[in-house]
Order: sequence, then C-alpha cells, then structure tokens
Amino acid sequence: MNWIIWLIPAFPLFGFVINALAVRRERDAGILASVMVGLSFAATIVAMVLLEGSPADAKRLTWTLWEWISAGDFRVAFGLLFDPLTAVMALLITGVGGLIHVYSIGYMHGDVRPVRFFAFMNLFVFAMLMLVMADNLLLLFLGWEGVGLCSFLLIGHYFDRRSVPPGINPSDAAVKAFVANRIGDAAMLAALFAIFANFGTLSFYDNPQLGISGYLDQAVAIAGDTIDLGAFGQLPLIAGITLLMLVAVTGKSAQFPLYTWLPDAMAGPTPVSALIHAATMVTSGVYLIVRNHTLFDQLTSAAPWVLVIGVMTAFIGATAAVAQLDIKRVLAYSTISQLGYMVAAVGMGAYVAGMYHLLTHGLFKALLFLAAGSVIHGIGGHQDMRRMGGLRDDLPTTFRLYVVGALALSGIFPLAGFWSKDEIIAHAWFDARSPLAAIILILTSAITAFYMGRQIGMIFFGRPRDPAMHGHESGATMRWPMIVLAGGAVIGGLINFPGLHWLNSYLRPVLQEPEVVYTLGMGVLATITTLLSAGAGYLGWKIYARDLEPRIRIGKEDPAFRYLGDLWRGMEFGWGLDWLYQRVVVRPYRAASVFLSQVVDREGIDGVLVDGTARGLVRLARGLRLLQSGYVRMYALMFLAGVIILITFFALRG
Amino acid sequence: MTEIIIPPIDWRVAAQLSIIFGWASVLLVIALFVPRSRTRIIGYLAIVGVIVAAVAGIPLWGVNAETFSGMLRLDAYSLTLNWLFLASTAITIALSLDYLPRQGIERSEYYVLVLFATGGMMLLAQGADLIILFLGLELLSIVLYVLTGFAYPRIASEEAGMKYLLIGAFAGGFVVFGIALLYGATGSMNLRAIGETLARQALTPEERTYLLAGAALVVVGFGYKVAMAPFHMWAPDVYEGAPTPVTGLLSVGSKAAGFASLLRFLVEALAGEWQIWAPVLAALAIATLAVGNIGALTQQNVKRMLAYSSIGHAGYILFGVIAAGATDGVAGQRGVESVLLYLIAYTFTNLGAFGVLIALEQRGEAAWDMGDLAGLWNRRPWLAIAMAVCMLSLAGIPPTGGFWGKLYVFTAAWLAGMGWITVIGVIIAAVAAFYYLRIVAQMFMAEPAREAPLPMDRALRVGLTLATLGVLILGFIPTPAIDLVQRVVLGVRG
Repeated sequence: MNWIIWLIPAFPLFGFVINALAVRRERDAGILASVMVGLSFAATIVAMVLLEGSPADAKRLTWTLWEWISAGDFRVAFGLLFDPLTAVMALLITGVGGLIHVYSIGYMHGDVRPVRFFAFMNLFVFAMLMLVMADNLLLLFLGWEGVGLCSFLLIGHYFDRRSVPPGINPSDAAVKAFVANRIGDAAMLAALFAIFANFGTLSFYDNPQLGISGYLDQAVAIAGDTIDLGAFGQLPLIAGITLLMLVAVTGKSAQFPLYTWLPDAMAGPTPVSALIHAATMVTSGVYLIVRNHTLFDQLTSAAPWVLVIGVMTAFIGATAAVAQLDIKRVLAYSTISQLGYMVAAVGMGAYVAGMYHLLTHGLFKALLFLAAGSVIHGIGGHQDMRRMGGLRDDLPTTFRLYVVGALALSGIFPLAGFWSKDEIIAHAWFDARSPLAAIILILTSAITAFYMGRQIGMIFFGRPRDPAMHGHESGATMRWPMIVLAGGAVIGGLINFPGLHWLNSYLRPVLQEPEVVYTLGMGVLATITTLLSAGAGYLGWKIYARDLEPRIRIGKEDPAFRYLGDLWRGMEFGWGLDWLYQRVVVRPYRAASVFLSQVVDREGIDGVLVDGTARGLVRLARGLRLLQSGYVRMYALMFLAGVIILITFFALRG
Repeated sequence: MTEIIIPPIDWRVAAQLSIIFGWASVLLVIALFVPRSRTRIIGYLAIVGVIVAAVAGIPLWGVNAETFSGMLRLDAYSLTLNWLFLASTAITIALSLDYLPRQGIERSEYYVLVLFATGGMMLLAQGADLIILFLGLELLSIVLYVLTGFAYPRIASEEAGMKYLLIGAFAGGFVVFGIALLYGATGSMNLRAIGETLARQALTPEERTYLLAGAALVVVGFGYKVAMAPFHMWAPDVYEGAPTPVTGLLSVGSKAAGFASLLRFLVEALAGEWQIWAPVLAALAIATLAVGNIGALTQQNVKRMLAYSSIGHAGYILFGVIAAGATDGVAGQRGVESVLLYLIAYTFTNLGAFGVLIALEQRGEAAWDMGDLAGLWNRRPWLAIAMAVCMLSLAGIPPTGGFWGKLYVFTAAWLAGMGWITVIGVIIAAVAAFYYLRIVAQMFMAEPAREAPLPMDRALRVGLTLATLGVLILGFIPTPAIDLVQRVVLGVRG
C-alpha cells in the first residue's frame, strides 16, 4: 500500500497537465484544480492512517519509483518519503492549498487568464509536495526549484500590465523574486555538492530498496571533519554545510538580508500571496532545517547564526510592517517577521516549536491574506489602506474573519498564534538562555499587535474616506474557505497544547525532542507577552481608528510620519535594503553588463574576433579563387607540385 | 607438357561483383528492345539488380576469404562498403529517374553506366592487389568521364567531362608508375605481401626508397579520386558541370571507393611506415579542410559550394584514415570505424542535399543560386526540411548522422595522438557551419525570390526521403551503424 504516497503529488501534476493542455474554460479549470488538490488531501489522510499502522521504530513510508541517476558512485533514487514531518507539511499544503484553490474560483472570476493561473497553482502544489516528500536532497532541490519557478510565474501573472498596486511592475517583481532566490539556490547546490563529496550520498535516510545509504544517519560520525579553505583557514565541515543551507533558507524563506523580494511578490494575485508567499513555499526553508536537524544539532551553541538571522528578520519585518500603506504589503512584511520567528526557533534547536508556529501561521496568515483579498475584491481592486475606512458595515463577515486572523497573529490568548509564538519565546528565555533574543521577540510580538491594530483601524473603522467606493461582501466560494481557516486560527493551538503535546509526540520519530515541561515562569512570561501585545494592539487600533484618523488623507503621508520623520521613512522602505542593493549590486551590475555587451562583446568579440576572422577568411577565399582558374594546365601544375611534395617527404625522409 | 592448373574460384567473394557486372551487360542488351519512350524501365531494372546484389550480400556476412590468387578479397570491410555503394547507387538512380527526362537526356546507357561504376567501386573495396585496385580505379574513372559529359548539348557538361578525363589520365600515369616502383622494390603486388615484406625489414635502403616513392605515387592516385588537396582542383569544375545526380554519385560513391582502397592500401601494405606517411597526410588533410571549407565560404552557387564542401569532408575522412594506420591498436580500430561511419553518414547526407538541388532544377535552367533557395520553407516545406537536415548533418550538428561521423573521426584522431590536428579540425568545422547554416537561413528566413512550380515525381520523392531518413535515423539511433562498423577489422590486426 505504500505506493499510495505517490498519489499525493500525482493528483496536482495531473491537474496541471490537463489544465495546461486541454482546458479552456475558467470554470472547468478552477473546479479541476480544486478537486485535484482535494484528492491529494484525501490521499494524504490515507497515507497518515497507513503511517499510524507502521511499527513505532520505523515510522516511515517510502516508495522508490526508479533509480533516477546512476553514474559511478553517484546514485540517486526517484523516491518519496512519508514520515510524520512530511505528513504535517503535506496536510498543510493540501489542506490550506485546497481551501485557497476553492477561494480562487470566486476571486479569479473574470480574470484575463484563469486557466494559466489554476494550471500553475496545481503545478506549485505538485512541486511543493515533491519538496517535502523527497527522500533525497536532489529530489528536494527539484521541488525547491519547482516552487521557485511557480512563484516566478504566478507573481508575473499580470505580466502584461505595467503596474499593479502599489506601483509594482509584475514582471520586474517576478524577476526580482527569481534572482534573489538564485543566490539562495546557488548556496543550496553548493551544500548538495559538499554533502555528496563528504558523505557520498544525497539520500536523507538509508534506502534499502536500492541499497543507497543516508547521510543524516552519519552526521555525528563526521562532526569533527573540516573543510580546507586554503588561505582562509579551516572551516568545520558541518558548519560549512549548514551555513550554505542557511543562505539557501534566507533566499527561499525571505530572511535577512535576502527578504526584499517578498514585499514585491505581492504583485501576484492575492491567492498566490496566501498560498505561496505566506503559508507554504516560504516555509520550505524552515522545513529544510528541520529535515536536516541532525546536521544543525551539531552546532547549536557554537554558531548561533540561524538564531541571529531569525531574530533580526523577525524584528526588521515587524517594524517595516508598521509603516506600510498597502494592505498586502503589511501582511508581506508580517510574513517575513513571522518566518523570522520560525527560523529563530529552529536555530535554537526548538524544532517542534518551529513546526508548530509554521502550521498555525499557515492557517492564520492564509486567512488574513484571503480576507485581505476579500476586501480588495469587495471594493474593486484597491489596495491602498488610505482609501478604505469604515468598511466593517459593508463587509461584515470579512471584518469578523479579519479580526480573528489579526488576534491570532498578534498572539492574543487563546488563539492559535498565542500558543505557538509563546512556545518560541519561552524556549528562547528558558532553554536557549538567550534573554536578548527573547526580549526582542517579545517586543516584536508587541509591534505585531500594533500594526495589526493599525491595519484593522484603517480598513474597517473610521469614516469612509473614498466617497466613490462601495464595498460588497464576497460570495460563498470565497467566504467558506475563510471561515474554515478562521476555525483553524481559533483552535489551531490545540495541535500542541501544553499538556497534550500532540505535535511533539507525533513528530518524535523524526525529531526525538523531549516534551516541554511547563513551569510557572513560562506562565508569567506568556502573561506578560500577551498583555503587552493586547495593549499594543489596542493602541494601534485606537490611534488609527480614533486619534489620528481625521488626518489620514488619500495620497498623503501617514499621519505618524509627522512624529517619527526619518525613522518612519526607514520603516516604510523596509530599512533601505532595496535602496542599498540598487546601488551596490544592481547598478554596478548593469553598468558592467553594458560595458561587456557594448564594448567587449560588440567591439572586441564580434568586431575583432568574429568579423575579423570572417574578413580574413573571405580574403583567403578570394586568393584561392585565383588558383581555381578553370584551366586544366593550372590544375596539372598544382597536381605536379603535390606529387613532388609527396615523393620528397615519403622517399627522402625514409 | 605442363598442365595448366586453374585454381578453384571462390564464387562467394565475387558474388556481388558478378551480379552487378552481369546484370549491367544484360541490361545493355535489353535496352535494345526497349523503345526510347520507355527507357525508364531500364532504370527500374537497374534498381532491381542493385537490390538483388545487396540481398546477396546478407549470407556473406562473416565470410573472410580471397580468390583469384588473393587478388580479390571479401571481408566485413568490403561487404559494408559494398552495401554503402549499392545504397548510394540505388538512391542516385531514383534521383535520376526524374532528372534525366526533365533535362531531356534520358538514355538507357546512363543506368547501365551507373551500374558499371558501382562495379568499379566494389573492385576498389575488394581489391587486395595493386592490379585490381588500378583496374577498379580506371573502370570507375572512365565510366564517370562519360557520365560527367552525359548532358551532351550542355557545354559545361562537356567541358567538365574533358577536364576530368585529362586530370584523370594524368593521375593514372602516376599510379601505374607507383605500382611499378612498388613491384620493383618488393617483388609483389599483393597488399599483404608488401606489408609482410616491410615487416620483415628485408629491404635494402635503396629498395625502401623505391617502395616509399612508389607508395607516394599510389597515394597521389587515390588522393585525386577522393579530391585531396592539392589533387582536388578538378573537383569544383567537374562537380558543377556534371548532371546533378552524377555529381551526387561522384561526391559520395566515387569518393568512398577511393577512400576504401586508400585505407586498405595504407593499413595492409604500409602500416609499418606509419611514422613516415602519417605526418604528411595529416598536413594534406589540414590543407584539404582549409581549401574545401574556405573555398565554400564565398560561393553563391550552391552546387559549387557543395563541391567545395565535399572536398572539405575528404579532409575529415583523412583524419580517420591516418588514425587507422596508428600503431596503437585501439586508435587504429577506431580509425577504421570512424572512416566507415563517416562515409555512411556522409553518403546519405550528400545524396539528400543533391536530391534537393535536383528537385529545384527545372528543364534547361540551373537553380543553384543561393537566391533560388530563398523562402523554400514557404514554397516547399518538406524540401526545406530535407535540405535543413542535410545541412545540419554536413555541419556535424546533432541529432544527425553527420554528428556521429565527426565525433568518431575526431576521437580517432585524438586517440592516435594527433591532438593539435584534431583541434584545428574542430575549429574549421565551426567555420564550415557558417555556410551550411546560411542555406538554412535562406530557406527559412528569406522571402521567396520567385515563384516556380516544382513538379516532383515519385522516384525522386522516394530517393530524397530515403536519404533524409537515413541521416535522421543515423542521428537518432546510431547504435546499429556503430555496431556494424565495430565488427569491421582491417589489416594486420584482422
């Protein structure tokens, strides 16, 4: 029965192929795509039941379709793996993905190219499932590149438009996402090479079917090995590999300093933002670290790079979210910030906590994006929050769902975000003994609540600022997926509720993490955090719904700009990283490209080498033409010369 | 009184030859009773004879025998080449069936002469004795002189035939003199006997000088046949003047036969002197490549361009010939394989290319200008595709047969230790790609210069399809051909 795990990615792939080749109508495409993801979800449930039946010491379903590559010692299976870690990821991808597909049927109604949209959404689900189900790093990399490709294609869904709100060129945004990810992907490839060079395999675990050994089981054995960097000294092998993986994570999971592509990725349709750029693809970096946790375990205290990157990203993302004026950009920076939490968690070795937050975040951030999409849809495509205001009467359901999502994200008791976020903060304070990290994370949590309060205040409260705007509530295909997700956002904390530890014990075969023992200190910390967040959230709401509300004007600065000035400007522009890249990387690169193409290539290679050779050859040909006079006596003369040469060389040299 | 003992004749060795020569003689008689309007029948009958000869070769696979006192040999090498000659003959006749009546030069002797030429080629492949090789060379040449001048009222054809005859006679003299010198030095005309004499080192320095001088003159003779520089100068004029199907036969069958005997001569008789002849031939190979490809660069006349290109290809095949004589067994074997593989791929490719020219050629007017190919894709897409496939194959671009041929020739040369020469060959191949791709660009990107109806009859279609499919099949599924040539072992190693 293990073959059934192949069905999980096969359904979306099938949906992609049929949609790409055969389907022409919007409605058929949407239904087919949603049904395929639904079937994939069902297959995931069946696989989980099967997984329950497998022995406790080998909680793993594998299925190898064929030997993918076999070249000397380099052997890679085209094999899938289904263990508890994969199970929770697949459940999130197909579950939330399915809801978003259904939502898209309503949201994409009347779009210019809906079939393309649904085809690529299915392709994305397929690639993402390959990523989490691969039994080796190379197949994972295939999925890793596949989701990057789909992200590129879907960000550029409106490639024919010069500009979408808030003034982003979709194809530029798509290219930016792709290029930023290339940096991470190059590091990922280097990590692959390093792993193969040192372990001789890319398989995670032993593959008895093909007799390929796994590298994760050997991680401890080579902990002391080093990589010789020549003049730069020695680097511990594990540190090198994990550092490369971390670079890969900063690209795919939008961490500092590569996160700048994610806010621009909002140029894609909102369901894309919800599925790819909030719930699933951007979390694959976290999955990568958790999957390779035996490598990362070797360096927890010695090299806390992962933790540092995560905490920095969480804080920077949250502050940038405060000053955004576009409804989706707030959520984009918020996603960056929440991904920072997850990366910080796995960086401390709190893998279960990281996965826990990944799952709950997948629920409530998808909800928030869908609700934001519902707002955008309901008011005719506007995304500027300054144009909104007072929408709670027009969009009552969306309003309530948005509040649920915002409370969950802000970590307000007893919603999902409270439990998962506090577990990370508690881990930082008590287990990792890193009060600085914990304090920054608590502060970030408060800022999170503040910007969500601000956003709700600006969208749903106050007066309607655009008299021409009339909102309407979304239809059932859009409402119901949001309601289901809202249910998840409310009770999602249950999956690893203190005392129950469901997620912890479910993932134990993979992660071997002990249960957290809850102390009074944790309760105190959690209380402080949630009170702080609640206060900050109220403050954000109060300022933007009441105090400064009259001074919000369409097209004018945010009123807080008057008080914060350059600090506000910095937050608004994501701390100027884009500005920096533009000057340090993009412009010099463009200048170098222009130089290479116009001077080196056109003048040097084309001019001197290519044209020069051609001119020389043509001249030579003209010379030869003179010999080819058409007179036989000339030919005979040349012939004779040849005879003399041959005889001379044959007879006289011998 | 001494009894004259006639040694028993192994008819297996002469079977294919006998069929071709016999059938040609029979056709000559039959032609007397066929009215002029039905001359076509002779063409079909000739194809039947060719097919019969090819089928007769199948049970002979694996035979390794000689007869007529070791003058004629049948081995895997000659059998493979015989099949190649028969294939090129069949395709040439198929192409001619449409061409000759269209040009008003259809006479039944044409088909008979083509069959005699084929017999000459087979003699060159099977000959194990210098006399037989000379016989084959002369038979092939004389028939081809006639065929070249076959388009009788057309002055270019007459001129080409004349030039070919003069240069051929010139070359023939050198060959005979060379054979005499070789006989004088070794006392034998049998290739293997000469090789063994050399291996025993039983020659005085004087005799060895005679031997090498004689060898040089024999090489001159074959070099003329394969259009090796500087004995190539007849080729552009003759190729241009000859009726186009004859040009096709000249460029593939005649060239392949020349290489067949050159290779056998060098490997069986002269392998011991590889150190002497390899560098000289390598230099001539490079010269051939340069002359052929650079000459082709500036041609506006496609037929003449193909003539130069076929000179260039002789250079590549020479790489394989040189490697075949290498003292290193692996390189030597690879050399033999590469020559055969290249010849197979090149035969189909060139016939296809000339077939397209034939299809374009209307009555009484040539359509060989670059401009005549312009926009062919819009006028005749299948013709354009066939031509494009052939051009890519000539340029050595996968997935065509020409790619594998080049790959094998270059690896053989590399294995034989001719590193630099290989590099030069690769660079020149890149230059050559220019003029081949220019034709492709003309066909697919340029606007048609003029609109002309292009009637094609079935035989031409079949011939063209066979040639093009051959190129593609060799490109996509090269293993059967590679397997075939890998079974061919030549010379002292055999």
